[in-house]
Amino acid sequence: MIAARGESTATALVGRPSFRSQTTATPLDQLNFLSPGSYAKLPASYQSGIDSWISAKQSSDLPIQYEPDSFEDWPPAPSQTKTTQLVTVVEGDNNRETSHLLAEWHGQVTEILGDVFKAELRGTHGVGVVGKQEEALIPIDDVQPDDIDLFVDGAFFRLCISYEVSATGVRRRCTTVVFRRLPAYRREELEDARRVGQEIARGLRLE
Amino acid sequence: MAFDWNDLGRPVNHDEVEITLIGPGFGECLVLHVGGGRWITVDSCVDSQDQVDRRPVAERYLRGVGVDLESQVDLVIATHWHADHVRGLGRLVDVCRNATFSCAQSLVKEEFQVFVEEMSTASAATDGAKLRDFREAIRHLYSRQQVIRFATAGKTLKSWGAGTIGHAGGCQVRALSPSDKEYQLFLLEIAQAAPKVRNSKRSATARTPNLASVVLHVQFETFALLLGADMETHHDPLRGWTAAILEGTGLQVRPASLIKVPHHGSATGHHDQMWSQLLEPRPIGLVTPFNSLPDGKKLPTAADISRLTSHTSRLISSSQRPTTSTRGRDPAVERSLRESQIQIRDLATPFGMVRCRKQPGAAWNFEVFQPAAELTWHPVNGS
Repeated sequence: MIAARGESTATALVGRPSFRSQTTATPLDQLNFLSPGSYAKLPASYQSGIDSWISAKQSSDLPIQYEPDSFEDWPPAPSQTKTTQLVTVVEGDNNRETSHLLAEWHGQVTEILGDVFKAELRGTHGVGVVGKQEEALIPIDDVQPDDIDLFVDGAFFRLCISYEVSATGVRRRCTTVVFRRLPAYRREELEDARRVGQEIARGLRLE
Repeated sequence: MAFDWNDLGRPVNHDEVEITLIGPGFGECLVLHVGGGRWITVDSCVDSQDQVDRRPVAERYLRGVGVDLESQVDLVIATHWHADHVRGLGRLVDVCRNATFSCAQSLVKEEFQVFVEEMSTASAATDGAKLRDFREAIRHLYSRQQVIRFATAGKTLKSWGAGTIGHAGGCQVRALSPSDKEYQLFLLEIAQAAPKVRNSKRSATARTPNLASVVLHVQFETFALLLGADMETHHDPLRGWTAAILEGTGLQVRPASLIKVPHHGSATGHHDQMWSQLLEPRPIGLVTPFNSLPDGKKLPTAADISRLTSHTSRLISSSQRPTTSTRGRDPAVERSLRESQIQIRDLATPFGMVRCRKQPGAAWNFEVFQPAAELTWHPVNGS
């Protein structure tokens, strides 16, 4: 079930897999954060809880995956968010965590250079971040092996910095690179594009 | 004088030549008055500091000095399709509806047009801002059947007779690049980058368009200008600056007295023979700054400024070098970025303008609109 999500995550901070509780209006894709690897490590009772939650989501009116109309629209605009119910996985009484997003950027990979990659970023959340157009160098270590097939020139991702607070009050910062799994090119649309491109090129008034 | 869109100074005189470099903002743009109210624009960008008015700066500037874009702009040139050179290009082509458009030949070939359409399939999500402006420009040109005079090395893009532009000798704009080899290599690169069925959608990325950019030589009766675009050097003599220099010397072009320094003054844009063969000794240099990643340097570097000032009589930058601005970010965010070894730099740099005007037979007159500034070299620690 986890593989059905539209994106996968890479987390710079190594830590025990955990659920984040969301009680406010939240883009749906922020709920899809578990990698297949961390899902597999969960006890069977937790997995079945997750599966039933996802089944409930899939049978509801709201789609789990969000397909944007444009780069600027991703992740969903406020009108395309929903108030989620509290999602809690109990790993013992003291393992409930809350997550607070400090800063977020949307990015596109522009060049892969040895042990880092270069990207263009647009700030979407956080003080001193929103609205800025920036360029970043990000260590390739932050890309999880699961995401290698998504990690190409031109790939879209989200960079998030948040801190998580455990029930015991322990706070830790977390840097996350979330790669976007866009739909694949279809033969028909590439053929259409080819036809349009040829028509335009042949119709230009060249000297 | 501080830069202000509402105070652009007096309009140019009929017989004056004007070259104005605007930017960098998100990219750079240059406008050129060849005389007689005839104008050229080279590349396009928008003012990064102005969140309200997103028109291309060439349109804003020309309207601000009283130019009618529909009737007075003769030539709109895109030197290459890097995002920092084509922002707002679609709109610019739209409003300059009687201008001839010029770009590298490879960009109007079927292969590239198909690539543009393929990268734009289904959703604008996949083309970002990179191809959108160029695509919009081409669509305007296609629907209006506006003339595209494609650029190849040695080709005259536009010429004006003496009677047209109000001063003796007329004016000729020639392309010194891209070379034939670059044209072939560019198409090959596009073929390799073309999306395949079942591949995940992605944004278009430009690999080596700088070598395929259009270097321009503008010749008047008594002087000339060299506009270096983002051209860089290459070890292959059939590519980059070596090829452009060979073209220029073969055409016996007049050595230029003013240069728009190529590729933001970087060392990779430097070629000794460009200075010795295409330029007069110690010409005037105009340069736009740029953030250069991945090495973390900002262009032009101190070493670049030292080199460029040794070759020029005056070196004027359209803005200050960009700063690594972290102001306003949460300290916890800064710490996280540091710990994760993620470097972030602001793409938007302070927006300025430098304007050079020249009456026939007179010296160049400069107007520097801050944060534009003249660059001088002050050795530090004996360097």
